Amino acid sequence: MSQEATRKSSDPSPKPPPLEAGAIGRGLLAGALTWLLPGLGHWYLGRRLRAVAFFALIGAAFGMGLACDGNLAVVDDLRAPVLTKLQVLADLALGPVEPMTRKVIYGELVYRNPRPGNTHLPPALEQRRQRSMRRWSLYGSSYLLAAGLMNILLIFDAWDIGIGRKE
Amino acid sequence: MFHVAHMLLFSGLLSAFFALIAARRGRRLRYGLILWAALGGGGILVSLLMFPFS
Repeated sequence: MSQEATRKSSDPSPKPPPLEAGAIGRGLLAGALTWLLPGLGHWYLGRRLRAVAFFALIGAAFGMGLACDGNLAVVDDLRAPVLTKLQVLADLALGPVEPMTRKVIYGELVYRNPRPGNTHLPPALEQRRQRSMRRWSLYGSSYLLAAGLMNILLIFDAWDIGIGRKE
Repeated sequence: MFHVAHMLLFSGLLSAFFALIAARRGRRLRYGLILWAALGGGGILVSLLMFPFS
């Protein structure tokens, strides 16, 4: 056995094969398309059936969230600044549909609760507060959050397929 | 009852998503069903464990 073969067989973490030309661009484009519309990146990469399935699943979670009067997250500097920022990021992973939905259900693009000490609640946040008191609102918010988190995973999946790391 | 229905629907969506994204072709159905049973069954089990404290 040659020295090269011996080295390869004893190496516990062999280096991955080099990326094809244009793989990074393809991965980035696939990720960006997935952010634009869930499943679009997979469609672009030729995984059409999976693209439709992902679109249906994330669309169903998002639709259930809205049907159950779920709320999109806002940053709350007083109670849980880090967690609420992460929730807003998860919502934003849904792409352009997120600000559009926010505008439709609250009337404006509101992303932050009033600063501590400011007792005045803007109409959009009042709308959000009333929505949160409806019966299924908590369930709906969970669906919306899950839809955003699923799309984050989908963006990474599209990237992996785009650069050739996954089939 | 609606709570359980929501839980099963929610876990069904997640299971289908993870089966599609993580499992190999041919194993997706089994993977998804096991995950769904684990999430749904786990949720019911945890709720029963919490029952004495409610």
